[in-house]
Amino acid sequence: MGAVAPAIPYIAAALGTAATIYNTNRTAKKQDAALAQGIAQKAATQRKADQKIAAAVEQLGVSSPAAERQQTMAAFQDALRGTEQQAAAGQTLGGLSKAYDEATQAGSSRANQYVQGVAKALSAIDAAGLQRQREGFGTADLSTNLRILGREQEGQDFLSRLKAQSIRRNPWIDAFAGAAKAYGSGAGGNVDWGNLGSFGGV
Amino acid sequence: MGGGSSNKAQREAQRAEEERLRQIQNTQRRIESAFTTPQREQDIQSFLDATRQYYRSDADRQQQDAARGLRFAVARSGQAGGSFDADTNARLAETYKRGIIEADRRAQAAASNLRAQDQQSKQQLFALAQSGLDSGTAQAQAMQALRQNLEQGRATANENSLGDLFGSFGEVYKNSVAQDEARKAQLYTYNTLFQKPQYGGVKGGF
Repeated sequence: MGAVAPAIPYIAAALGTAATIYNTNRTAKKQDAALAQGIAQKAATQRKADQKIAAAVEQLGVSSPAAERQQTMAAFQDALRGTEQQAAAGQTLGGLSKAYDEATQAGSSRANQYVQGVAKALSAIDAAGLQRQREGFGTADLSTNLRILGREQEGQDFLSRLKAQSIRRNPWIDAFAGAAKAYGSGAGGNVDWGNLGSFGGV
Repeated sequence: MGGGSSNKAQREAQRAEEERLRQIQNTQRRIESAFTTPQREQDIQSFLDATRQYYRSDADRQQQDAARGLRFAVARSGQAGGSFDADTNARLAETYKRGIIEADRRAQAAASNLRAQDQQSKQQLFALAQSGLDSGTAQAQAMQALRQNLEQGRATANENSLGDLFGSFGEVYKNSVAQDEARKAQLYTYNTLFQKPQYGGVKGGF
């Protein structure tokens, strides 16, 4: 016991240092874990964004103007419906001659064919523009959704930083370390170096 | 207690960045594929064909109207079978063929506009894929692209889009009618039953 007593201050100092190191590492690990959790959470949000982008791209891959073409064609047919009488308003003379009647009918038939051709062409022309308009809406929706996810992530980032910054050293460990080191430095100065017992002289 | 600092955050960040880059490359490939499908190219070709057919039918109708009017104008002027008849009809044919070329040119321009718009949409999606959650600038660009898409959606073809190809031939027709009216006025100057027709025309109708 007499041989160990002089070493107690050094042991105390060493314990205090070890406690300080432990507290430092423990705090760093907790902060690192908090940051890692924030990064993992951001990666999860990024995966959500990637899923939305993938869904939008998939929609683009199968986009076709067929639906718009059918809609515009149907609208044109609705507009033309019931206009036959008005269109033939100038052809009021009938029974003049067989040739005249046949020519009148042929002209009316040609007019119908022409109008159907125009309607078909215009529906194809308009459908291409409407298709790209629809795709534009989809891209705008996607960008809005991504922006919303981004704003949510900004909030999460802020909370993660706050959480990491709020992680503090354990004050009790620091107190113990401080006391041990103080005891060690204070008591260590009172050691009789000439009388270390089994340790002999220094 | 352990020595050294923990690098869990660093590893997590590296893993997340690698995943993000991998996802961006994957998405870019899929976007490129979505805009180069055979169906999309076929749709653009159908649009080109429809536009070409629409403009061409307009040119055909104008040519038919102009040819009929010219035929009557030349006959009314007594120029049928002459050099004026031949030259004017040759000019009519030139004008018609030029109109056909113009119709095709406009159709191809419209198809090129579609392809350009698709390129723009593709680039916009690339930007969104790359920016991901930090999409503020990409969103502004998406809104701008949407405005351009809305303008594209307006009907760009209309009945008079080729213009009046045969306008000058209409003047020939009108002049022939005016000359005919002038001849009638001179023929019936004295407006009597016994006024001998001076120009050999048939009284009472043309």
